[in-house]
Amino acid sequence: MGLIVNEWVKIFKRKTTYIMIGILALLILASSIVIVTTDNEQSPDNNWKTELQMQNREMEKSIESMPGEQNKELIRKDIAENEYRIEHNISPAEDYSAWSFIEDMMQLIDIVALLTIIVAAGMVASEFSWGTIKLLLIRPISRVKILLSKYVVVLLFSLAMLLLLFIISFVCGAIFFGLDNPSPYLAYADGKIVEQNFVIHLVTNYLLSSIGLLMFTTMAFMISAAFRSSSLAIGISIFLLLAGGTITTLLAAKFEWAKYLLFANVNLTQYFESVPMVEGMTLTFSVIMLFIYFIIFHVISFWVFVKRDVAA
Amino acid sequence: METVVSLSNVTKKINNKTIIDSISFDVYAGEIFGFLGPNGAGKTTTIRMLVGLMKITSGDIHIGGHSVKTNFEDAVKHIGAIVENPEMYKFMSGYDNLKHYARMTGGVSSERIAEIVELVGLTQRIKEKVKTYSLGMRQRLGLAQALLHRPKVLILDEPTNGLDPAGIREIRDYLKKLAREENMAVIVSSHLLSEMEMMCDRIGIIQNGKMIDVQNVREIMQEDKQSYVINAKPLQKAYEVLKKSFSEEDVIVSQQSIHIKGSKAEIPNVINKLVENEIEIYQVSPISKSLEDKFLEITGDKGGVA
Repeated sequence: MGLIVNEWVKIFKRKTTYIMIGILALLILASSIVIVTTDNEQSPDNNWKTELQMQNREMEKSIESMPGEQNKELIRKDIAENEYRIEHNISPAEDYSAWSFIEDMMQLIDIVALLTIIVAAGMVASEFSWGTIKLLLIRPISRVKILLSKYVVVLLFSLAMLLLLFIISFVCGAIFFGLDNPSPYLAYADGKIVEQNFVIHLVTNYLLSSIGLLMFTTMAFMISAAFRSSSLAIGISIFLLLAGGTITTLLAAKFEWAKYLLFANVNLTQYFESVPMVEGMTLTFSVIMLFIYFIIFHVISFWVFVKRDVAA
Repeated sequence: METVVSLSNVTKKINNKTIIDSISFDVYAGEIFGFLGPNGAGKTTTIRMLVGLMKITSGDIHIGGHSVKTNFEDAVKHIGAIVENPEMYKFMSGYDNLKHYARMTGGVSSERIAEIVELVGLTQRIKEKVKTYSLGMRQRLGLAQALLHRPKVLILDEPTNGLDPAGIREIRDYLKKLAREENMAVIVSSHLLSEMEMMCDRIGIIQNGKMIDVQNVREIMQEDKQSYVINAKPLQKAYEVLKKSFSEEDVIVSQQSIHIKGSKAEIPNVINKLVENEIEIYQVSPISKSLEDKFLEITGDKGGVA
């Protein structure tokens, strides 16, 4: 559709977009160079089994003195993983391969979120600050369609950025660390360790981690459409993206309602890899909460955008 | 004459304050309609309602028979407009800007874009980024954008703002051509009265959100009584003579000249009388009353001009 082409063209005709992509690529390249130059060649250690057993004994001792159910659960997970390794003869000192690198680069999803938030925040607000909104809205196209096309392009853009992160990480990883077949990933669920294909593990983790990106980008888009201010949208969204987790943890210690906050629910990997932020939360609960927030954001942005008198 | 734009009792309220108060008027195909009023009178608000940027509180606007309120997409299809300054995407070339708008209307071929670029005289620079354009070039690009889809109505808010005299003249001639040759209805808003006088067929005068008068420009300018200035010596004697044949308020004497109000037919008679009384006449000439005087006269009667 023409509208989507238009919005896409407007993003990629600007220099800032390429600067952002350049920063992302540079970060990945720099990380791979740092990892490859730091000497982490572990000499094949034949005693790793005894070492893991020693670790486990230490952890079992400390588990009683550890405060909080969450931390105890984390230690139990480590113990279970170590036991599984001893039992099935899987050394923890695996060769560092492209796949491990891609897993490490998953941290950069936060950077991708940052970049897409900046784009989403400018999507509507920039049209107002450029004054082009007037010429945009006097076309024979309803405002709902215009806003929808903008949101679709934001989604496409974030998808493209994630793909770019994955691909650049893969290429850098393959060049610096080689393409060994990845060993299975050890997932922890209900007190048991399960083997998982590493590539599937990577892709699902990328997607799960992107839910936060999706939510915060949608929020930035809403603020942009409702308040016409890109700096406000960027400021609030990035602040909440970075500080939201901490705020929730603090509140969760005191208040039961902390589990209804957006930040308590964005990280869905908590249900697969560790324990929930607030006790008593389940995957279904989080998915429903995220869905509600998603709908609220869209109702606000569409309602305000369609009703607004354009006086800028 | 075909009515293309029709406003009926259009009212706009913001926070219970009435900005536009029940405005009604029609614009016909092939005419240039001037929308005249002091700053803050409500010209821009009315234009924004016309193009759908602002919601209409009550009343309705029809364009080509379609209501802007209930059938926005069909109504606005017939409109090409520049609202205030022609703001474009500065980081894109003029051509990319036009392509952007072409994608939003449909039925605009690349031949049509080339044709319109040629028409507004931007062929040389169309591939350059808009940020390198001068204000006059941006105006032309704005015009190109508005005409791209062959609209029935062209709406221009303050089109001559910031243009040099040559540019103003060019736009004026061009708008006249569009109205005559393409049978387009053109709505122009301005507070530059002399400009409107030269450009428009009809003028609607708006003040404090009310339409106080819609007049044909030719009619405004043609009146039975006109003012004349007479330069003569001795002035006082001439005044005495003239007082005999005109009523008190139609003869005004100032330091160097006498102003009289009268019809054209009376003038030879006046000259004869002055000559008979041995008064030396240096000059007798009509004062063409500009629209500006007329405008101030009309608005002045009905509340102060902002």
